[in-house]
Amino acid sequence: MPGVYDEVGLTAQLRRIKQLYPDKVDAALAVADDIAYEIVIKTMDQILMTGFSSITFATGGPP
Amino acid sequence: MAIFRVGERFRKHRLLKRRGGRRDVTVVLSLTAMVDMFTVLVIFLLQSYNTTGRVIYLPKDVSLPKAQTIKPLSPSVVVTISEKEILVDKFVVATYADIKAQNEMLIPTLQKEVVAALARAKVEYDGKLQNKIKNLVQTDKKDLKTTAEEDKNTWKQVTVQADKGMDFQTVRKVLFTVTEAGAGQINFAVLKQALSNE
Repeated sequence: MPGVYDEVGLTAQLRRIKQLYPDKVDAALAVADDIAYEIVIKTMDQILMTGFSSITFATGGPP
Repeated sequence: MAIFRVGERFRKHRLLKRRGGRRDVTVVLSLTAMVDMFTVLVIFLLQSYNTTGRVIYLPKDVSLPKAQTIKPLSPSVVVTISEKEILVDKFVVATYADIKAQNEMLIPTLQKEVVAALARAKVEYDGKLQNKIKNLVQTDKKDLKTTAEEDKNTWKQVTVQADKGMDFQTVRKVLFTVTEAGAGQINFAVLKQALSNE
């Protein structure tokens, strides 16, 4: 069931990782099949905003 | 018409007398004021048309999601995913129902059309005079690795636009097919969201 995502928490986590590894710019996104496209775009937006400019999509869903 | 005796003319006829002095037919136009106004109008119109000038065809049933980190549109092949069908630059390649039903990641009709569209984009890119000149100039430079890669990728760019409620499995199949067809960088079309205060 789609719920509300913790966007603030995600941004905080990403910022923390960016502080630990400032040179790292790649991120891999694993998305489950039935997730709405809008949520994926929003997540990508947050990833880009926190400084990870190279996003790749995994062909499968989350493990 | 008045009746005159032969040889006589009524010299003081009412209509012949000009009332109020000289009557000018011309209208005096204040040209300097008009030119000023037109200049201001032209500058205003130029400012309001200050866009990249790229037009992207958006079907009615596709409502794009919003995002903040955006780049301007660049010329590229456009793949549209709507609730009904998949389009490549206005050509329908598959229906949504077919894609949803299939288990394989690859969509053959889409792949074929994207390959053809990318080939056309490459021809157009190479044909442009400015790119020919750029390529000639860059072959003389030593550190052209990054610029050459960027250049190659400009014609390989594909823009994907999908309805915001679309399930990601379909989008994933389309992304896979487009990558298999030879696309370089894939861009997602979004609407600009106003920057939120943090």
